[in-house]
Amino acid sequence: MSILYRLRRRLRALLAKPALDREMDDEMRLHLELESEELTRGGLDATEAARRARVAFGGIERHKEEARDARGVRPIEDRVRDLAYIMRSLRRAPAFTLAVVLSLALGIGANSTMFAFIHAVLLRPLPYANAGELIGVSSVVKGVTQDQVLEPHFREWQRASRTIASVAIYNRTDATVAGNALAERVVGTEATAELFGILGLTPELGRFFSSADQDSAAAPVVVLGDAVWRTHFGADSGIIGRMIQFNDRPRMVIGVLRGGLEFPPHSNFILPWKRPSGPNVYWWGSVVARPRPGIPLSAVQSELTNLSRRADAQLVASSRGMEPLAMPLHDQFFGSARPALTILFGAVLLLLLIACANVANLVFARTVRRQREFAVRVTLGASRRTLIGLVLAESGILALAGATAGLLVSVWTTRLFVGLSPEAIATAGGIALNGRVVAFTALITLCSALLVGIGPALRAARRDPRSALGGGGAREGSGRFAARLRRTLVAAQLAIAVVLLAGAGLLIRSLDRLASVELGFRPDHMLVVNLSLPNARYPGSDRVREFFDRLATRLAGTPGVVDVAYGSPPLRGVNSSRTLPVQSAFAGVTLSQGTVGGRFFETFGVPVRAGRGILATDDSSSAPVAVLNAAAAKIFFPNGDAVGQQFDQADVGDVHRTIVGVVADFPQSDVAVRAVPEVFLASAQGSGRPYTISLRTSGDPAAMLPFVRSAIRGLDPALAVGTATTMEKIVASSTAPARFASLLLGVFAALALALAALGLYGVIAYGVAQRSREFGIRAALGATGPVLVKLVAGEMVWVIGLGLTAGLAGAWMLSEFMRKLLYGTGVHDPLTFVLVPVALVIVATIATVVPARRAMRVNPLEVIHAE
Amino acid sequence: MAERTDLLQGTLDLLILKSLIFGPLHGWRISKWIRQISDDVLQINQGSLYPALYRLEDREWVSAKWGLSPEGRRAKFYALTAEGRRQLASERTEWRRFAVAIEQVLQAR
Repeated sequence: MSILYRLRRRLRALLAKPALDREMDDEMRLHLELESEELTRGGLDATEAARRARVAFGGIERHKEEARDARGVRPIEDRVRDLAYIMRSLRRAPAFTLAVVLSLALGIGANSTMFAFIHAVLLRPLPYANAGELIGVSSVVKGVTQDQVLEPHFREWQRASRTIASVAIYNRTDATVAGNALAERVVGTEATAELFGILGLTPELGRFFSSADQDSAAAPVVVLGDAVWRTHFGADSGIIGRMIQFNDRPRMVIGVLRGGLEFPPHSNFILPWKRPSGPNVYWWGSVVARPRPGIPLSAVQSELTNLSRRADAQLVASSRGMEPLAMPLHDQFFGSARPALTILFGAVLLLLLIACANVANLVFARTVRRQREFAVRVTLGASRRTLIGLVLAESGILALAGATAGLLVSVWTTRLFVGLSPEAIATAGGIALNGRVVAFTALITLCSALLVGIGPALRAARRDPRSALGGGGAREGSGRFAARLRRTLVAAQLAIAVVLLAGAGLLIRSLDRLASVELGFRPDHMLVVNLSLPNARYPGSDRVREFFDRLATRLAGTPGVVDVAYGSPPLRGVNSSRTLPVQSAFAGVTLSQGTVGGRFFETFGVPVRAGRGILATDDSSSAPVAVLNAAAAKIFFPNGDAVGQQFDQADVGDVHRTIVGVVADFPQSDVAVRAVPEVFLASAQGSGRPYTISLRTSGDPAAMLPFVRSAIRGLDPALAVGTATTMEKIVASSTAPARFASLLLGVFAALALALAALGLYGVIAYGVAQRSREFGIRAALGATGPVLVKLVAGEMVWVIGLGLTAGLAGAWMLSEFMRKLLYGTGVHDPLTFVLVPVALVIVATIATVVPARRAMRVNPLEVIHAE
Repeated sequence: MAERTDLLQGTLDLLILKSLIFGPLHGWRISKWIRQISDDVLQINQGSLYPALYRLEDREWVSAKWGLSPEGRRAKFYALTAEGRRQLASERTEWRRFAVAIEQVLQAR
């Protein structure tokens, strides 16, 4: 029996029912005619023959009915009829339907949105071959974890590891790529050749480079990413072997990567790693490795740790002590986003629970009101299964409508939230509604439908028809059990709302702390422009600094510019993080070093705490000076007498420098991270290639960009200007993860509170409506309005108290999970744990008193007459 | 009650399949053939033939086609399918075994 044949027949039975019925009629009519014709031939008159034929045939309608059943679609037809009935009855209760669909749309839509994030960032594997096995190696130096390791350690792992099949080191870099039409600064990667094998990449065109290409004498080559190949070179398949202008120097394109397989994601090119390690010159780089088959992460970790000790022996004492930290590559890329996303996902699941509790209450109340209808159905022969099916189908339809509305909304909210999301999340890409998200939505929709439908369904089936038919119908639901269930649901809703509110409260407090961090500089009215001078035309850092000096002088004379500086601005990382031996007693302390030019401290508004800042007169002809930040001064000169002291700057020959000043700390990389000790050198007396010029403006900083461009063009028309941004934007992006988490959790908590308040309101309003007769009698007996309100609200005090207590206890325990997201805020922050209950009590009181006041307005006469 | 219906239904299916072994027939012809061949002993309710026919069609044991009857009327003809033939053979064996078993029971002293 082929399934296709059956399917075709079933479809025909459903879609061509009238035609089939006609055929059946024809067939049976023919039978009767032929039978009676034969009987006529036997001598009977026509009327009698027809009668006998009908008798022999039997009940014709019964046979037709049986014949229709034989088509095998009766169950489907019944369902269709049920659905039509449900739709009709939902249309008759628009307020109920709207409340339910909106609640579920909120709950389900929030879940779809967050799942889109969870899927794209945490669940989706990286696009490389067997990406689950790939390992990234971070490092811990003096308690600080960073994504990069010292190259000598990498060399030792590469040389001696037995647990790792292959390992590569790479770094992010950027370069000006001159394409057919445009020259643009794009980000890319420099890596050792093992990278391609580890990731299992195959070129779309050409070949990848080998370790021979890493030799410092080897001709420069580049592997282009798919995107840049398309945007800059028009997807030219003849590009292999072509010399392109890369950082203003010719470089041969030897291959093109397949689209979507860039490494790290969104990188535009891969260059051979050409960084000669010399004595005391150690590069930092990120490391990716593929372990040998079957080797667990722990084995790799312990071997790398051992090998690192060996590598340490070859390093100068001040650079020793780096501990490798092996982890799945996916964790290294996205691990930082995990705590926030997990908590937000938990929050939306709780939100959905609240929505479901609301809907369950509504559906329950409706089922109780429909008790009489169900009783009639039972009397007419409906089975328990039919009734359960009917109620479940109704909640299924409601959930489906809610899910559809939720999905539609989440198309928009997903896009909105992606726009707000911090870089660590946004880089995952592909955060949108896709098949997986829809499948997940379907799953939670099914769960929600069961959750809200199962109780009412069982109840609908439970009732004894006689009592329902005889009794007052709507009053049936006032049973103790039903009332207790409704109150429990409301208490649970309030408890969940408290948990979410507490979570949001903690994040908001943390954000507040973060926003009020003393930055140590003034971010307003500041334009920051990146500018990278090509090595080819600016060999040596002296030439670069000279260019920046000329640019700074030129810009300083522009109207609207208050001050100009160059050197690494706050929150943009440190220029050089090499460990400097500062006085023998402090050997091994990491000190970062910034080479600053122009009026650096004045431009950024960094207060000078002692002595002076760096002056234009601190040039190559004057005595070398240094300025410390407060953190460095505190470590090296705890007595506060830094100014005037000497120290050796071992990195630039043996120059003795005099400390001329101490400036306030400003965060170098992250608002939430304390400033690391830093020494600032005057550009004319230091080293390093600056790449950023910063302006303090009197007006809108962004409006000054054209002047900066023209000033640069005036000095060197061939230079590509890199990214330009304002200091306020840089500060904002540093707090973006915190803002993202607190905004979303805040929204979810507000929704939770609103839904819980609605639930409370609904239960009280329902209770008042049910007990209107009682209130009428009480009023007739002399109870005053306030007494009645107290009667209703009094019962709710317990419910609210229970929800609040349970919620606070839950929040107290769960807040531990928030620790990683909090800055300067304890997980049991007192203010949060005081304000949340206060807020809840206020909202709950309003949600109680408003419907309870209806009890006051009950007119005794009307009520008594109504019975 | 349900068991008796099943028994009757199964028997009716067998009779219908058997009637079609000589070629396609329309509904009234099938009913006529069963009455004639069994000397009017097997008096089935003529109308119950049709649900049975639709069931058999649904199981793909018979196929149906509209055509012109010997009486010159438009009629729906039923024919055995290969599957129906196999089913007839197996039901016939089943029936014989059943009949023998009943006979043995009745013969028992």
